[in-house]
Amino acid sequence: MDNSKEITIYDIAKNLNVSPSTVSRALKDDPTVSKKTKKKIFETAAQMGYRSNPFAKNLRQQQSLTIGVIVSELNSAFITSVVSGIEKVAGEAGYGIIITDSSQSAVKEAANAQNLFHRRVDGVIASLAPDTKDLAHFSPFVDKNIPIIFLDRVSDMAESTSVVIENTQCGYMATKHLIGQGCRRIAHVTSNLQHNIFALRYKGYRDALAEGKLPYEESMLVIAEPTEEASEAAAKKIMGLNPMPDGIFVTSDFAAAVCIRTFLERGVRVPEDIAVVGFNNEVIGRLIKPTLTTVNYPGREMGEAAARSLVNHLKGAGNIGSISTMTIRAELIVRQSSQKPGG
Amino acid sequence: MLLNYLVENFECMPDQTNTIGIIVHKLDSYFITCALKGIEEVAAAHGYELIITHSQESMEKEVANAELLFDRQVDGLMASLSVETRGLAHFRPFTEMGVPIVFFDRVEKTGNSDMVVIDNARCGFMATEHLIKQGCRRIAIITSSLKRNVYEQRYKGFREALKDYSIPFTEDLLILADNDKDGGMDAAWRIMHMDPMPDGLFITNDLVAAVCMHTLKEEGIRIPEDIAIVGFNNDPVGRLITPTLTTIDYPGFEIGRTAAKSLLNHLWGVSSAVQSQTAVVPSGLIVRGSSLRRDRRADLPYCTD
Repeated sequence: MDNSKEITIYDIAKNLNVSPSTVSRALKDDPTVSKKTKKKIFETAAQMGYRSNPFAKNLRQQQSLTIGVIVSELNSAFITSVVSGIEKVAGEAGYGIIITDSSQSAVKEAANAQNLFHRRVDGVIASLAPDTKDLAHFSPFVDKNIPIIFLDRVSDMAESTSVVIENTQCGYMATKHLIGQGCRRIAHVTSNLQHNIFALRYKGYRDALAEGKLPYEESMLVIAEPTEEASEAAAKKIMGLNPMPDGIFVTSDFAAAVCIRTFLERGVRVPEDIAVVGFNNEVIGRLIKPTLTTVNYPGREMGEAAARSLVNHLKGAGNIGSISTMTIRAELIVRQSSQKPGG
Repeated sequence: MLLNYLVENFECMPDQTNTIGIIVHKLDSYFITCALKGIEEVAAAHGYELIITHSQESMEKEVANAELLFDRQVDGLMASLSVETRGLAHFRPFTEMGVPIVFFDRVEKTGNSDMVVIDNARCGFMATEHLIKQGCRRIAIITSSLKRNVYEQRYKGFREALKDYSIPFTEDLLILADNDKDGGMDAAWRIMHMDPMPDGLFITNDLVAAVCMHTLKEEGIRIPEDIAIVGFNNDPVGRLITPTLTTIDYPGFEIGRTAAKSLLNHLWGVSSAVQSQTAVVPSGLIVRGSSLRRDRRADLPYCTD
């Protein structure tokens, strides 16, 4: 048998010498087809490897019991905790999850959205890529009344429900903590500011500096993706500033851990010479010395909130349209890396 | 080898979905995210989209995910099995439809599909031999379920090294722990309550090793002087902790790339369905501070062969 060709009801009909409509009715368990014929058709369909057309199945059952998840990256502790939160709630409600990764690219994100649409998901949870400019690639879902929830990396343009944290407030809180520890020259290491979450944290950082009447210079803003190499380079750049900053707010724990290692290796003491605050509350922050002060970024709770809202909508128990933004609480966790002696 | 050969300018058949389905056992793993990056790079270069499902180490979820991906009519499937998975019956619908499957990392030997792995037994041997060369004489292994090929093979290599060097083994030196933070703490607690304590640990997961080492240090145990430690995976966490962690390099990105190329060759008919291949990707020992009790040179001939 040629395996490459999809088996259709016509193939089954030909094989059994019955009409395609009989096969179609039998597969729908239509009572007008005799039990004996139905049994024969089911057996032959299974034998020939017939797969029900998901589209037809969708029309019949209205649901595929699948939620599509679009993330902008997969290699982050934050995203994997978001996914586990989604999985918990969706799994309990009987939904399966398929995940696509846009690798921080708007083009890939659009392709993924289209693919999920063709794979017929019941709903979508999406965290946007940094360079996503418009949301046209989500309009097929909107047109078909397939609900979308945006999470974490959201867009102002979205008229869907969003689940976020107060990024401006978090940036402000982290910076204000450093000021409270006696830091007077505070640098900021972050990712591409094109992305709203980083732009907002930066705004919070600037707000806290302005409030504390502390100086800001462009050289104190270092843009570095949270990889080992880029974070090490960022730390070296900060050490090279004159005068050297006495505090940094880094928007990733992994990047902050690499910065601390780089400082210590070169004789710069943490927190005495430079105090460090990270972001995410990853395991790494508890394993390094000094332990890392950070902002708890509740990925799991955000994933659960997004999935709960989507599932409720799909089950008709809630209406997404009635809520616009859900804000999940994030808080500062103070550990050794930021506590200056006498601070 | 066929794996290195890719057909250029391949035109996709109209009845294809250009989608590759992926089943992974875990998402919060540096190894897995590297493997996914490798798969993605090859797939994207040839116009394939990926949809990823996550079994969370549960066979029941893996079976449901296989069904879900089958219904979504993926052109090909790549899977790393859950720790519980026994048998491959849930993949039969794919093989019966001629949808190719490539297994990577966590595999079952019974299958008739391509596999991409590392030589886990040899890596287990290398890690243990290194500890012996560093003077350890009472070596414990902290690992996950021995029913899963990767851990079973690493354990096999561990036992072979002990045997080769006539180092005694007793059952209490085998400690099973979950691959997470709590697993690392539990294992450390058990180690501390052993009498006498082991002087060497081979831990088959870097995160578990990092947490275990941290917990032992907090109890005043010196690493590597009192206990030398070797991990597994070459996770970046090992370069950030003190002492830095000796480990086995597990090249996730290479594994992912190799697996994706192998799958594309099946999709394009370059490899035939009945002829399955196993690709073994090179790996090796990376010596750092957590295990170095002697001059590193004493160890070199054993980690470069």
